[in-house]
Amino acid sequence: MTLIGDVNGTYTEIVTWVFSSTIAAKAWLATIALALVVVQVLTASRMWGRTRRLLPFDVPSVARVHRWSGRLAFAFTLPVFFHCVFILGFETTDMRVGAHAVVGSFLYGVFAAKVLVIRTRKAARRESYPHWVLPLAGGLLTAGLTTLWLTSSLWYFTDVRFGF
Amino acid sequence: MASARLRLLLAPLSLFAYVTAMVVTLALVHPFSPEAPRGAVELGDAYSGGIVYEQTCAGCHGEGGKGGGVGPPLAGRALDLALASARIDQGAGAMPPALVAGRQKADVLAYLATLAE
Repeated sequence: MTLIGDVNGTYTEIVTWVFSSTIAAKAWLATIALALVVVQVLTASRMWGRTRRLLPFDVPSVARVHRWSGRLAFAFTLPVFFHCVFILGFETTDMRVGAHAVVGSFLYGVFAAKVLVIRTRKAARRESYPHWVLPLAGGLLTAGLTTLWLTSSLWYFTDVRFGF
Repeated sequence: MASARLRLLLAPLSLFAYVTAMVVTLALVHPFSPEAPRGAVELGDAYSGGIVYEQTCAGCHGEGGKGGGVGPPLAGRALDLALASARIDQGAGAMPPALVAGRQKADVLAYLATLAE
């Protein structure tokens, strides 16, 4: 159990090289992930034939940006996921924490389902799923991450402190 | 055709359910949660601890531990002092580690003991 206790200590030590606390780190990493999700939404809408005026680039370039912004957003959520799930755990001390825990529990499930849909669509040359499945999965993912940001990072920046 | 599409939708739905179940299980177990140290917790002077508490802790946990919005309330609940000691040392959530230490920590823990159920 000492080793397990050390994981928390080591994680805190690493994170506090840059940030004042583990929660400050989570607030900023989630903010970066949310900014990347905004890029995701814009590029996705361009790929689906919208926002041509806003993003006057060819679809393959936009698709590349969409893929990489998604990968980066996922990477930035990993330390947040680790701290929330492995160290803090499922808590329902108040409405905000409870809502955050419930929505957070679903996020990676939605992400995994969305990735599977994309992979299957590619393999089946876009003839498999109904056309609404992918926008629905992407919309749920965006809504989930936004809710998580509102119930954690925004709370931290407004109620605790705005800083690193 | 419709049943084929329905079957196809089952794959992402099953994956969603599986991953969500894994996350919930891990969150309920939270295997790397800081463990309360074994052994007795050193308690100091509750009166001095009350003063330190009001200066250092009340901003988040509220006056008299009644809750202040940011930190959880500490009064009127069964408080594990060993766990409280670990949380003070290691930090928890928005609380940075080692806000109080040594004699002051022992005093604050003694004060917290008076707030517990």
